Parts: sequence; C-alpha cells; structure tokens
Amino acid sequence: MEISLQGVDFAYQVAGRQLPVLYNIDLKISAGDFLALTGAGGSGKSTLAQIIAGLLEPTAGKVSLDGRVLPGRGKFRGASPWSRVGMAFQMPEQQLFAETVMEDVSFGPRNMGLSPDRVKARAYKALEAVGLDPETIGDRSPFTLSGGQRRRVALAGILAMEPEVLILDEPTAGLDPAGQELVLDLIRDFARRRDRAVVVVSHNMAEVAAMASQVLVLHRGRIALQGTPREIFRQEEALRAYGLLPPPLTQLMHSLRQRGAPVPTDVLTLDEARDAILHWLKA
Amino acid sequence: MIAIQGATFIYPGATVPALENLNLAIEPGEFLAITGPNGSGKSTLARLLNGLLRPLEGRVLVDGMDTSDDTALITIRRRVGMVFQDPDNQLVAATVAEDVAFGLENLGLPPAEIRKRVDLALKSVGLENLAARPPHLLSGGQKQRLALAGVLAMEPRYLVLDEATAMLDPVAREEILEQVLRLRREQGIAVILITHLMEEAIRADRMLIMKFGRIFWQGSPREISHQERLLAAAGLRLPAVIALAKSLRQGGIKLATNPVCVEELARALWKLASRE
Repeated sequence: MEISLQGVDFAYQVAGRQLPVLYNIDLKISAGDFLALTGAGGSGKSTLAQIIAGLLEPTAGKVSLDGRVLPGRGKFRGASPWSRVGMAFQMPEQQLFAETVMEDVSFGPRNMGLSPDRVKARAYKALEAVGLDPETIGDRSPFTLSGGQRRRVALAGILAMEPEVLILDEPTAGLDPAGQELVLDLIRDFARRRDRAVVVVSHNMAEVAAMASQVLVLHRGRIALQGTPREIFRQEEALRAYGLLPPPLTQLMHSLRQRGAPVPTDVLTLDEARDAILHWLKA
Repeated sequence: MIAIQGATFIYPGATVPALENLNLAIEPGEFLAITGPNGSGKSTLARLLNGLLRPLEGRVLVDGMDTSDDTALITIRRRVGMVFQDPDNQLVAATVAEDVAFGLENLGLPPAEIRKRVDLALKSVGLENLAARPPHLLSGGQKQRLALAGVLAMEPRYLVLDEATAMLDPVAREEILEQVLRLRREQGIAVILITHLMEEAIRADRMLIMKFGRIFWQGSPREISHQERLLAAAGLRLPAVIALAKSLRQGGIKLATNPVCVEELARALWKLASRE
C-alpha cells in the first residue's frame, strides 16, 4: 500500500489563533520502505507522524491511500482504510488499560469485528512476535510487568491488528539497552516483509542508522534534508544546525577528518569505522 | 548531605523488595550518576530522596531532616527537586509561565520575585519565547524543559533527574545537561542523574550501578567504562566509542590512553598518526 502527502500544512488552533506546525510537506511511503522521521524537539515530527497515520487532518493539502484522497480516521465509523495503518504513540504503555495482558492485546482485533477464535489467534501471534509468552503472561495484569515488557504489550496490541504500515513515535525512548534491543528486533521483524512499510520517529541517530533506508530531517515544520542515512550523516554541520547529532562513530570520523585525516565520514557501523581507521593509520 | 541509612522498600502487593538495605550518602554539590537495568530500583531510590516514597525500614535524611517527618516534608521537597521521564504528569497550568509560577505561588513569594524567578528559569531552559503557550502544545522535549524550569525556579540544593533527558533530542539533551552542570558549578547544586546512557553517566564524579534493588557497583565512571563484562552484567551497553577503541586495539593500534568520548579518541588517534 502507499500513503502519500501532497502540500500538507498543519496548524493547531489555540484560543482562536493558528499555531502553524507543518508547512508544505510532500511525502510518499510505499510498501518496502523504512522511513526515519527525525528533527529537534518541536520540529513537527510527532505531528507529521499522526497525519501519516490519519489521526490528524491537515489544515491544507491532501493525504491519499493507494491514490485515493481520504479524510482522517475520525471521519469513518467502523472499518476504514486507515485500519491498515497502525500507530504507536510515545510511551504507548501508558495507554494500557485492561485487567490482563490478553484482554489488552485483544481489544483492537475485537473492535475490528473478528470472531473470538480469530481474536485469540491474533493476540497469541502478536505477543509471540514481541517476544512474550502468551501462556505465562496473558493472564497477568499489565501493571505487574516491567517497563520494557509493558512497552512490548502495547506494541503487540497494534501488531494484533495486522497493519501494513507501522508508525512508531520514539519506540525505544526510556527503555534500558536490553529493552531497546528487543523493541528494535520486533520492528526489524515487522519490516522484513516486502508488503509492509515502517515509519519511525526518532532522534537517536545510531538507531536510525541501523534500521532506516530513508531519513527525513524536519526543521521548524519543513523538510530540511532527505536521503539515505549515509547521505544524511555526511552533513554534520547541517544536522547540528537542525538540533541533531550524527551517531558517535560518525562524529569521530568527522572529527578526524577536520584534523586532516583522509577518512570517510559516512560510516554506519563499528566495523566500517574500524576498517577505515586501520586503513588510514596503516597507509 | 542526603543520607540513606539501611533503607528497604517494597511496593504494595510485591513479593520482592524494590530496594533492600540500601546505604548511600550524597554530598552537597556532588555529581552522581545512577544507572542499572529497568526494574533495578533506581527510580524507587530517586523517590526516596524527597520523601515521595518512604522506606519501610531504615531512614532517609536530607540535611538532617527525616523524610518520614511530615512537618519537614515541605522543606525537604524544596531542597530536593525532581524531574521525571514523563513530564505530562508534572505540568499543571494553562500556560508555560503559569506552570513555572505554580510552585512559587505556593511558597507565598511576592509577585515581583515570582516574575523574576519565572523569567530566569524559562530563559535558562530556552523557553522564554514560549511563555504564553499552553503546555499541552509543546513537544515532548519542550515539556521536559518546562518541567525542569519549574523545579529550577524553586532553587533546590539537590536536583534529581530521573531519565529526564530520555525524550530530548541530542542537542537539547546536551544543552540541558550543560545548563544543569553550570548551575552546579555556580550555585553548588548537587546533581543526581539517573540514566541508561553511559555517554552521560561518564561525565559524573561518581557512578552507581543498581541491580535487584541493591548497589551492584560504585566508583569512578572512567574505571567501569572499559569493563565490558561488568557493564553487561548490569544490563548496560559499552559506549560505541569505547567499543571502537577496543576493536582498534585488537587490530594492532596501540592507544596510549583509555578514551571515553569522541574527542578523546579522535585526539589519541591523531597523535598516533602524527607521530608516524
């Protein structure tokens, strides 16, 4: 499936005044894409994610799904094309509400009108996909789980609706390294299928480097940079101006290059950085 | 000084203590980093420091005042400011400026003093241009800076940041940390930084790793930064720069020092290259 935004503006209404957040955004997300939305705090990336997910309607411009211009989710009752798009907000675990993990994860598929058997099958599959055992954890209250486990239960609730496009706002923020790794694994698993697309909002560039095929940098509500992670990380000065930093290893290469070392600045992994430095020092 | 003496805490309904027989002294003006995996007790420890939680056994003394003494709680909470990971729970008013003023009004300060402190606090976190905006229209990072401003306006002696920068972009995170450390230098505020990021913890004077409700390790962050096994046992990741330094050593590069940040490694490598 394909989501496309054309000339999208967005403004919040505050006490009768317009508070513009996004200006003239053009964007296309197709099956197989892995897009990272990044930018400093307040650059509009969470708002943009919610427009892509149909949760906010643009003030101007068009949002279309598979070529059809659509109003936002709120305009539909029951089944809608938007149910093919899943969105995880920041700290989604705060929205867990049911008494047991199984009920929470079943909520979405049940609302889609699936039979009880299919709801159960989907909930089991989704919990397994996030690395939780439905048998041991299904009957527990979400509040007895660790922060990392709760986050994964919340994500299972979205996966259980089997979206084709998954949009995640800062999916690893606030988790410890082990919890972060588990969440990144489940996102990578989801993205493995070619008929799916992922949009991740993140300011963690190391994370972006490890996953995304395309990066979009927002600055004050406009698209400031767009390209592959390598193309983006090469532009250290521009990134800094937009409130971002390249990942630490890329920073190191920039720092060496500024001193005069003939090393590339677009390394993405530790091995690439090591090989480049060894090559330079042994030359 | 904040003294935690033999403190044990168990959440209602839990079978395992969140903190067990913990002893810790935090000096005025100190920069202490506390790390550890989720569920290791670090947030519980933070909440003991200003009496948000009180130990079931043992006691917590803030400048000699016991957090179990209700009459001292107001003073204790002014001395020990807390900023949490999720700022939404901390924001109360209709505008940014009112939100910062809220705590000050409760202190009964004169309006002119309140205005002065609000302006200063908003400026110090870079929100002076958003003073009239409703807090719910701020970005996650801006909300976090607002929560910090509200705490700074109270002029605390101890500042506890519980994953307070987790939602910030890297430049904002660095700015906030710099700002906090500047306040520490200028006013002697102690900073207690609870974080998963070794890159942040490494800047502290002292680092504490929590595990299973106990202190698992404490010492100088530089000391631990190269001990991969110890870090892994505490659920922490070796920072990328240190992992690279290690990998370069294995590749035959003879680094003279143990670099812990980008600049230190760049300097060490450049030195090697210019010597040859």
